[in-house]
Amino acid sequence: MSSNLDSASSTQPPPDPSNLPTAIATRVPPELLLDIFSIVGNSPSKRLARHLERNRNLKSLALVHSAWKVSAQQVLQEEVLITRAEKKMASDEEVERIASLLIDSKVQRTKYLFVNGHLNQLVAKTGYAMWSQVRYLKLSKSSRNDGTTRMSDFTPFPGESFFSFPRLLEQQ
Amino acid sequence: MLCFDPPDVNLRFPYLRRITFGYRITVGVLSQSGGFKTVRQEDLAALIPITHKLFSPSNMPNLRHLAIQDYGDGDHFETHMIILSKILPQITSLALRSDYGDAAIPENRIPDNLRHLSLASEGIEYMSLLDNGQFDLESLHLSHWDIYGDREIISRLSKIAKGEDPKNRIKRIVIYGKRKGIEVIYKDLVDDLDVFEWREASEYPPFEDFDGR
Repeated sequence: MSSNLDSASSTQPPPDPSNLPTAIATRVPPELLLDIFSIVGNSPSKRLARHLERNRNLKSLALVHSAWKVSAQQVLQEEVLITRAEKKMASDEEVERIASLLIDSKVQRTKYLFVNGHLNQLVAKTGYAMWSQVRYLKLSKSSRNDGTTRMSDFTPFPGESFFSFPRLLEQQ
Repeated sequence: MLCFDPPDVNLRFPYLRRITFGYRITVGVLSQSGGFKTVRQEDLAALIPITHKLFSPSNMPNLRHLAIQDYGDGDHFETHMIILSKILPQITSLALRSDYGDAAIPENRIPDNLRHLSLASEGIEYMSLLDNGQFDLESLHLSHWDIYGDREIISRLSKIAKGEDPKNRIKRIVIYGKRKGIEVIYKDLVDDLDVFEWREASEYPPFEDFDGR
């Protein structure tokens, strides 16, 4: 057995991966693959947990095959979550830092925006154009750093669908 | 704290379909010194001219879904219903949630054209709500905890779901939680429980995503 293997390996080099036919799985868009996983698996029932699971999986899938990278990045842009670990509020400095990263990444297709920090701080850095396609805005803190939230802070968001502002005064 | 300024009457949200007033949101008033405080019912008169124009069919023509979570100050729902009263006629789905025992649902302010109602609060007096209100809904969504210790409410809701209640018409009553736990206690009401739609994956009805489905 061993000699046969040796013989085979010496006469037939391993196939060049670039010449292999593309596996069916890699031709499936990653977001569709995730939808299938979430249907057959036990996807979390909470929207935020689902969002985090989906993003985590998309990041992993983007590394699996180069064919998935572009579409995974596009899907990742659709949902932006600004927060600290363990649901802690992002400080104004952290919001600014994240805003800079988003600007560098030219994010512009976001549909779901979750902000666990002051909205005015984010918008002051990014401008409103970046969020022109947001349909769902969820704000977990006051929109302004004086502790108040004003409806005028939401008008530039098209909000075709809806927005909400839960747990507004927490840690204020 | 959600605060309003007189210029807010000119704000328009033409595409907005849903607003959720989540946990710990209170309505506030601004003072001339720049400070702010939580508004009480007696302070509302100053805000109403602003909020009634802001939350109105002309400024929010597509608003249909509303969700309000109680902050535990007794008249929380009432305060929100007052400031939102001009927009209520176009609301078709309403979710009310409270973690406090004394939450009062203002039955006289339930939107006229409401089609779907989601309630989650241990403090709600359901019999009073059904006696004093006159619901004509496509669906009512409740937690199993709301009917757990109350034989009378189970019978009443069953009657409504069967179309036999003289005051209230509700096509679907959806209960969230384990049916088994209720069945064990009320063995003689098994047939009544059959008329409800049961969703056992969650113990509480949807809140911020609620649209009646």
